[in-house]
Amino acid sequence: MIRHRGYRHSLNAYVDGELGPSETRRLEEHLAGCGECRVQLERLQGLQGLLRQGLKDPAVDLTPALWPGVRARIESGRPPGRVTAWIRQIWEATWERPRLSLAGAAVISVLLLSSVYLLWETPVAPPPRKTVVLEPRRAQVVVEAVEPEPDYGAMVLTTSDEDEGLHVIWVVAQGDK
Amino acid sequence: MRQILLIVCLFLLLPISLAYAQAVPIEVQVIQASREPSSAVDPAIGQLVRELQRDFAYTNYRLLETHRGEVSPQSPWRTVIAGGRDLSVALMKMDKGRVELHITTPRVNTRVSLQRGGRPILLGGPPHGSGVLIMVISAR
Repeated sequence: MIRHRGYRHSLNAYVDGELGPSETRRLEEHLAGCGECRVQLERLQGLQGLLRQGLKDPAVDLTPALWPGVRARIESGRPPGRVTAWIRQIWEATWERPRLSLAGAAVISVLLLSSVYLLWETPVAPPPRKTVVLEPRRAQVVVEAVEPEPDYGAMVLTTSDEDEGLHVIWVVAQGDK
Repeated sequence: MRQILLIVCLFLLLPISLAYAQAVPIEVQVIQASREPSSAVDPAIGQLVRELQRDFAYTNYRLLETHRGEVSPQSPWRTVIAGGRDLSVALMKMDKGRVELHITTPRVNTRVSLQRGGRPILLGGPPHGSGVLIMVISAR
């Protein structure tokens, strides 16, 4: 058993062609009399052949299994819409230009902070009310100035009336007051 | 030739027509108010007397005179009212149906703004006979 373990360890090197001449001759003498090690040698040589063939042309084995799924996805997919294409272009453009991305992020941040500040500080104004401007009604009679002569006094009286009172400038002597 | 004369006449009349357009008719009613027994009131001052009776203690109102004239920016109007008192009215300003008048009487000078065709301004107080005079001045 111990001998088989030693030769099996040498089998990998033998398949890879890494054994020296003396070790190769001794292993081949063993293989001639050991059927179990020959079976193991055949397994290793078959596995090595598969690996070599896969490394040379991987599409030969892999593509046939993957292609039907890829084709089905392409055929079932819809062309992206204008908005989606536009967003994708912007995304790709910004992704390819880090400076532009940073500038855009900075602008958006400033706008957001400004909005929050304004909403926080600005008091909510009451809804505008309808304003009606009324032109003051000027009285039919307006006394602009009264200048009594010396020794006389004058007073302006307005009588009561439903529409508009009478305006009376009453002049009296100073001694008659 | 006639056309030229017509145009010249029109140009000569233009300042006169403009002055006439700016002329403001003035009316002055001179009333004597007294405490004499009431008598028949002149219909020309009936409404005015009813208003005066609400606030003044006079019992008798009598229309003595009515003076009419015109004032324009260039020419004041002068008249003599009861008792030989001078009354002068000058047009100071005219705007949108209102006139500003400078009124000069023996005892008081005043400047008033009146609505044309509206309420009058009353100047009262000078003694006259057994009562006092009230001048009712309005612009037409």
